[in-house]
Amino acid sequence: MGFLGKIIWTFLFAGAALTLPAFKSLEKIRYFQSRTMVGEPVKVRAYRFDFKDSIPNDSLYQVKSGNNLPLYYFRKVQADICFDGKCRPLDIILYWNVTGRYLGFEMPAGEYLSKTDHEPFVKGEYEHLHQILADDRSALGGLTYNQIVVKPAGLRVDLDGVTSATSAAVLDHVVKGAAYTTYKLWHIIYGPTQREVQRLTAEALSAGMILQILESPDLSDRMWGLQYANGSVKLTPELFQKIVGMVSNENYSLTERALHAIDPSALKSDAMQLSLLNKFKETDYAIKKLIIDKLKDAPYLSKAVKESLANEVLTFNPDILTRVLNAFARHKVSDLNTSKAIARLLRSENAFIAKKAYDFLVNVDSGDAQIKSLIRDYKNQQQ
Amino acid sequence: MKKFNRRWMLKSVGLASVGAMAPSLLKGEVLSKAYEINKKSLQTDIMVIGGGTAGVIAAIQAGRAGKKVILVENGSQLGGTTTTGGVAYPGIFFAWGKQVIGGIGWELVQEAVAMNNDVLPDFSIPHGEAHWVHQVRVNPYLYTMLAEQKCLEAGVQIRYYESPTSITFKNNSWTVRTFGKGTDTEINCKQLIDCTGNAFAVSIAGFNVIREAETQPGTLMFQLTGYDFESLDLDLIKARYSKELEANELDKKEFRGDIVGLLRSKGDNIQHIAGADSTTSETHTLANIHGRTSLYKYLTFIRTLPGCEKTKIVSMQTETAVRESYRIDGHYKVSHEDYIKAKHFDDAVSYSYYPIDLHDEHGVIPSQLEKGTVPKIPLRALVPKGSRNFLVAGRCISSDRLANSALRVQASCMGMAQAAAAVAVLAIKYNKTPLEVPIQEIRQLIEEHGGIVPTA
Repeated sequence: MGFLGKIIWTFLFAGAALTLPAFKSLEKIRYFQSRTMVGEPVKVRAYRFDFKDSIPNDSLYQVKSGNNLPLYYFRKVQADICFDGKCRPLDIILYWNVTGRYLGFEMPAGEYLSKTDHEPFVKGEYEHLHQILADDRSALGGLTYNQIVVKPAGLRVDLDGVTSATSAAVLDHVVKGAAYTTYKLWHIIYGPTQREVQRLTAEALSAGMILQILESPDLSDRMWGLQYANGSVKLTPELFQKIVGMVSNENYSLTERALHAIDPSALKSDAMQLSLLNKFKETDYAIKKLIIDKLKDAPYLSKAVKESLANEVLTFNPDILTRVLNAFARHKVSDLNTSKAIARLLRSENAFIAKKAYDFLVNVDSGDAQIKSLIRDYKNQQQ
Repeated sequence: MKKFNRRWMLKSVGLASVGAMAPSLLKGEVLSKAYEINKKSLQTDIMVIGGGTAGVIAAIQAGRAGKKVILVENGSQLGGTTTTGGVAYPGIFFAWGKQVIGGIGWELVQEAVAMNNDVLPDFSIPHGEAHWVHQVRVNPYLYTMLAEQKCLEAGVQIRYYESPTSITFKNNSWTVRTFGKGTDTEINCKQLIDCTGNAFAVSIAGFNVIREAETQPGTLMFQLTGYDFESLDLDLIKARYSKELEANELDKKEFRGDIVGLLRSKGDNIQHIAGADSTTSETHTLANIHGRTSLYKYLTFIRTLPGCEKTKIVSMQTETAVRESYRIDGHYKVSHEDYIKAKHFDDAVSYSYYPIDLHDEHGVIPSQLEKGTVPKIPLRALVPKGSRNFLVAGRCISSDRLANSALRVQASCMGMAQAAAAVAVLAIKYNKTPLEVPIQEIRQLIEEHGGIVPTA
């Protein structure tokens, strides 16, 4: 991803205030949201990338704690913003959470943002900018700069010029009089830099760090943590319980991501499987099928889980039943009680279900005369 | 010595002439009899015509409910707009943080996403003006395989390359005659579901259909590569494009007059083919040729632009996808007002969720639904007036044009298809016509199969 390998170590002197919620400091103009990883910032590591975004400074700074965990990231942005033919540099520091979420911005001492009429931003405009930059679903994401402003012929594209009227359709998505500044900053925040932030964090992930991320009050952080949990870290019992605890009918996306975070090969204990089974019983169809597929791919199927599923086969809809039978087949379930439970399905008025039961039972030699008789009856009915 | 006579002479001459006409056979070759059209009569419980977005779901639902199902598709694969059309982002299944379309359609989409190691969007945060952030991209190749596998698993008999030529109702059942490659088949069914998207079966069966004087344009999906959009001189390109339009070398409407949009999207859902209609072989042929001709001309022009000289097509669908053609004249017509106000119907069988999305020559500006609004589809909109044992599912349900511009989207079609099949299953069970089936039983069956039924 363009990592040039140049690493710079420095010690951190600023940034402790990042633990605070949104505020504006008296000394500097700075707006921030809460970050996920708690801990004192101790050191900074600089990574050089080609961000392909026309900003000359190509360093991304990773701020770390004393125990070497990433806490947040920042980038110094210096670019020319031109006003009616006169240019002045934009000088701002942008911050990202470890999950790639926008954290905030800070103006270097003495710097401030200004609009097309050269007027400095007022407090409300900084707050509006902060709000826009925090919206990862802003309409700015789908627009080109040419759609932002109605630009007279002959003007350069990268202008915040007074002669460039902001398109009425996008007024709500930019700070008035600073359309290009807003647009540019939003696209830096959600462009390649964000992906590099996420990649660097992913490289440093541990089960403990994922646990901290999953505690975040910010939903997007939790979603991110779940997305990266599978394959990045070992599923410890503590992490497993945390993840299973997030499975519910309340939020499909979070639940789906939580189940995705569970690698079925880690389901090596009865307790883990029973935790999942309990969720299976509590949740809707769309989630049940995800759970049963996890159990199908587990290293083994716990006896208690198997018995519980077998006892309920009559209640499953055709799709869930198919998945349960696939799980039984995968785990070579062939005991008499399970076979008897499934044999009852041979008399289902739903031909699909009866056939599923038949397909399962003909591959299991239960040796039970009653089951054999039911199978014979089913076959005779089909002829 | 053999005795020569007249009979022997004639026989010998005949054999000799056959020998003279027969091809010389190489080792391993056998002379095969000319192929004769294979005529068959088949019986089934439910027949689904059209294996697209809706038809796949209807067939699987009917099969899983234990019915014998025949699915006829005139193309070579299942999935329709999602796969053959290349619009592989089948609409919106979640509204305002809750799932509103589930069941078999969602099952297919979710599994296609998982099998492709893709990540679902976060549906818990409302999409605001950007409804496309809740679109789920699926791998169309995977989707078509999954659809086929799930149909087969549900016991559905799939018949590709066949199209109906006559549909008649007699003795409380439908007889559909289909022609295909070397086949002439008569299929008798108890319930018929038209999932052609064009109300084609409804038309053949003799029921009324409705069409706008001007329909929404179709789109040929393709993918361009070979240029760096960020480094293009867009002002120059726009100027060159204007000259080309002034000289009538290009048709402005075909890409909405937006050359920048075409270059930025690289072909993803940007083309507009006026009057594209997939109803018949002839109209679909025209739509396909128009779509490809338009692309050819634009591609030729793009390759003359600075920075675009090495532009290539890396993929192109085999068909121009169609947004709108015919709709049925049903027992209830879903109106724009019904849709945007989420009118509740006592016979509501599925939800639909999408902004009003009418494409015209200027492009499209979606009109988002108000917060909390989730429109509903009544069963009566799925039943042609004057019919018995006949249902439709998909974009051709009874609706006005604006409502149709939203409910035509794939997720909604999946929801109504599952409902239509559930109704057909119960109609057989009770030996009734669809509108006579108790609504509570319909809802129960849909929910048993994972579908989501509207509440008051």
